[in-house]
Amino acid sequence: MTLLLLLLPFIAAFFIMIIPREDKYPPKYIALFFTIISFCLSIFVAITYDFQNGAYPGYQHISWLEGVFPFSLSLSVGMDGLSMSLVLLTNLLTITSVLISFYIKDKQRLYFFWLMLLQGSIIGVFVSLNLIQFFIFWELELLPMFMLISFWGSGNREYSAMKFILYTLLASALILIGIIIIGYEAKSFDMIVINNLEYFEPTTLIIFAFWALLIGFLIKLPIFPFHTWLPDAHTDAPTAVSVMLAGVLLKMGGYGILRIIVPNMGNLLNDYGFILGLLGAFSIIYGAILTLKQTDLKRVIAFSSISHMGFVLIGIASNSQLGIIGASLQLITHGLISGLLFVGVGLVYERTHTREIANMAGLTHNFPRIGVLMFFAGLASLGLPGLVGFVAEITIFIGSYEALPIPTILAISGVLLSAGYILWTMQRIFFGKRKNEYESTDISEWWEFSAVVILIAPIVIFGVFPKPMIEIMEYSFSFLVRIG
Amino acid sequence: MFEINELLIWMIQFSPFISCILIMCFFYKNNLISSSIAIIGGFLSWILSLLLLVASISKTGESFILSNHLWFSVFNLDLNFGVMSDGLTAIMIFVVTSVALLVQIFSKGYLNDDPSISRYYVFLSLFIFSMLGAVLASNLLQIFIFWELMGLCSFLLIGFWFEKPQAVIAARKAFLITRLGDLGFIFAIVLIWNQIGTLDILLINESASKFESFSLLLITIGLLCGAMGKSAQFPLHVWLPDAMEGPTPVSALIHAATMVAAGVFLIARFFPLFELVHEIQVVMLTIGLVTLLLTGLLGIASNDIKRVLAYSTISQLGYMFVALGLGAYVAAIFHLITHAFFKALLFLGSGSINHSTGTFDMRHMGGLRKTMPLTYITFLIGALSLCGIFPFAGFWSKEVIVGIAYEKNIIVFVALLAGIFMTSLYVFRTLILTFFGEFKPSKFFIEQKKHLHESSNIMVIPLIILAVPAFLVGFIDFYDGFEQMLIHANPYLLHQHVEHHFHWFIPIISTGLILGGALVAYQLFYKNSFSSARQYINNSFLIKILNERYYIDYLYEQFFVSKVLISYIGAKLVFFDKEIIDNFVNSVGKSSMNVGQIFIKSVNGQMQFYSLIMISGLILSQIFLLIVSFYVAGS
Repeated sequence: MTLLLLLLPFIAAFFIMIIPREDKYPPKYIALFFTIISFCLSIFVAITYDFQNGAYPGYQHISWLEGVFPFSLSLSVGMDGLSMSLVLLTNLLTITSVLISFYIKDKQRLYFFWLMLLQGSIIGVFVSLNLIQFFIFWELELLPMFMLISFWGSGNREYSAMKFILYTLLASALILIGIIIIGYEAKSFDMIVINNLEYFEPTTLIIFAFWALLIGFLIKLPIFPFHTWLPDAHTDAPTAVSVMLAGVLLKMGGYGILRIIVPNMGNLLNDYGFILGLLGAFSIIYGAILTLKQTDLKRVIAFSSISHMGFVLIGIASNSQLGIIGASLQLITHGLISGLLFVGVGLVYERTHTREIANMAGLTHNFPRIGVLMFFAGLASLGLPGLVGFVAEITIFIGSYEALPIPTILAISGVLLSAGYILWTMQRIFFGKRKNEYESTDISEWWEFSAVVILIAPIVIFGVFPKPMIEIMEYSFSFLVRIG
Repeated sequence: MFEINELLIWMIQFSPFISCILIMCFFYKNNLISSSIAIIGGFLSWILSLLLLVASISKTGESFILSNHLWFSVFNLDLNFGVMSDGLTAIMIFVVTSVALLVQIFSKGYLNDDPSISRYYVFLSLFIFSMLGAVLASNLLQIFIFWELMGLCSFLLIGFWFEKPQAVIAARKAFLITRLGDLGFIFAIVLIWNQIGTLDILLINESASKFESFSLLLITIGLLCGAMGKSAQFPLHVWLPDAMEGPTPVSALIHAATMVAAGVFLIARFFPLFELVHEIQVVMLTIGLVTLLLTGLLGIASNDIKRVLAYSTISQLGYMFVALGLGAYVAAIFHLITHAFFKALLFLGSGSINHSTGTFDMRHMGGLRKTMPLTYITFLIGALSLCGIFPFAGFWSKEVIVGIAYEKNIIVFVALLAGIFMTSLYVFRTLILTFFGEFKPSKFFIEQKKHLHESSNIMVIPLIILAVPAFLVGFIDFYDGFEQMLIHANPYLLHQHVEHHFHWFIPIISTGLILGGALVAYQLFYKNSFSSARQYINNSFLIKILNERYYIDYLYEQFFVSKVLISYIGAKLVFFDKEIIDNFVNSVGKSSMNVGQIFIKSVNGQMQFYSLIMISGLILSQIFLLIVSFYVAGS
């Protein structure tokens, strides 16, 4: 099943490339068809698999190069609760991305081909149980991102795409170093084998590997001071890519820390926890203050992402079960919320053809539905109770206070700053007197509607009933996080 | 006898919510149906809360239904949702639903011409739902959740006319300032869980003595911050006067009777924690006194009738904080209840006046007592109750607080009396400017060719109904009934009964001060005497400070946010981000590009160059190997 989940996007990409006539079988419908199938399949898997008893239900192992090297290389996939949730998130956001890309006319076939490839490689990262394989998928994801930003982007797109690629390649290089050191230390690249080992002895080499991996993942997350690629990449990316970037790609960084660093280097996490917690808290406040200064709507949300990812780092740095499950909840909830925010920004941009906040005012009069949508997404983003973001934030606060009191107190102040920038932005864009007239209408196409609804639904449902979202993950963490 | 069960208590909370959902999903387009549904929802929860109150009285306030349902659990963190039904809850719920129902009815008349009345009722029902949720909650996190939802509804309703820039700014200010207080609330939640591993209200109160004394201090400070934000206490009071940009019935419900009282309620709920920390009681007392005196002065200087009432609300909430600081939580709740009725009445009255005159500026009113007799009489009842004249409701509740203050601390007693004098001054000034003298129409009034008229029945009837409790509520059996109910509601209180005796001279002094205030107001604002003194005061520094509201708003908005946060820190960080971090990143990229350029030059396609490199490489490596082998052999 897991293998099928991994292969489906690649099959979709293949189909999109071989269909004979684009006008008769539009690639967007093929892409939509396959993404819906993937999503339904992942829902089915999530319901049928028992995440309470086995660490990796649906484990599949295919030998590849066994016996060639001192240790074998193989294709092994499997999911625990954490990867399952992230796969679900990826599949959901891909549907949204496909829907929101329906307006694309230019080289449709290629566009959806790359989008499917992007989905496939991200799922590959989340289901891989072999470090080398994990790394291959991690790299594979860069290619479609580069193509999508540099061909379908806007503005200074070549610069942004290149910056994105180079910066993340630096991250990859660090991660590769870390992975190889771990592999040799553990005499295996099999993640299940590695995770079952005790904490590594903190030799110089392991400490080096720890920092290499950590910085590599923090670049992806991103955390101050490794964040400058994100706002540029967001500004010039097409809407769907922004959705995928903020919604899923950033989560790969958090996932990497949770999967590779937490189970085997938790002792180092304890040693450096205070510094990392402070870094997270600083990221929250720094991102929030910079958000206040942005004039471009997409940059506002990009910097708010940096701010929100600081919560993830604090939760992880506390190295407590509650803090870490809070951090992973924050990964999921931020994926949904920032996805929705970028969908909203995309809808605004298509109509106003500007992202400058100064050029917009009173848009609620022009587009009441978009106004409601963005306001809702903003409320979710500022952590309003009853919506999904609150559950993650309060869990992080409660979980990390014991280990990291000062960073947690600083992080709590981020709640005020986020309310400040969200409300101020909303006020400048949507409230006040009507300023301009626009030709286009409010949300009216079915695909725009559905793209929005499939994100709003989980934000409300899991905000009110967070139980299933938590239960699916809880077991993985009793397994991954060691106490004491 | 009708049996109260848990479902019915949930129904009290959820019937406004159901109305809200119904309006949103089905009847959004139809203003008449949506307002009726909202009012029916409000009525249903009022009836049920009446039943709850009766049942609670028959049990003298002891908790009889208490439930906890697991909301979600993560490892050792269990979060529950449940209801409490003790005396405190029952009384609060009844007050909230009564005022809410009347405000809903009044709004039907007040906002009759507004095209988005459906949206109004959606927000209002959502607010009532959240307020009831916070009061009924059996878990601290549950209180916080509904507390924040209340804040959201307050934001939405203040900014109801979102095309008005001032309304949106006021809404944002309200949300952010209360959230500033809520940071303390979140901190308290986190700390409580880390200390005792539960957020259940009864368990927290039960283990009050188990906390370390320092963390107990921090917890109470945190909760107090949350309460100060919501109850608009100094220095977090600045949002409430601006909140008057919202529709007037909203001010009556949210910003006078219910939400702003939630802070007092929160402290009352956790009073077993507060009474253990002496320092925090002193802090509460001081905050209450400062608030009540400072905002009382502002009330005298303001010309906008709603702002006068807003300052008066803050000032009266200050009385409640003083009572809490004196350890008399029963007295605080008593004043909360009487205040809820008479202040809601006064706000609705000002709405009725506005409906006729088209303004809130008292300089463009006057003489309304003839044209709006019913509004006048009900407003007068509310005003006398606010002053605390015997036998109106306000008299009784203030008498308890002042009496306790007399026995505990004479300075507080004197300050409270000064507060009573100020209250009387601004109340009678308001009465004189609005209802007496000559009518001075505003420009708007003349342009619109409006005429003065009494408001329609749908607005006047709620006023008349509210006037009844504003007059009578003080006659409840305070010592045997009310106090017993509230004491039973909080079984973990140490000092359950705050001893206080009736001193015959206190009502005489306070009544004398009220009459004195009335006399001064009469001389100053009706007779317009002491003109030279008035001239002097008007030009004095005092008036300037009052007009600038003690520069506190300036301090927050212009100084902290604009100057420090955005212009200074923000600009510095933007510079740092762009010029230092990003520049560094880009220059790393560029320099690696330059290194690449050097190597590109070597790929020039000339055979001779390649062979030169090859041969020199070969020679160099041989030399290297030679050196190494000598080195190895030598060692």
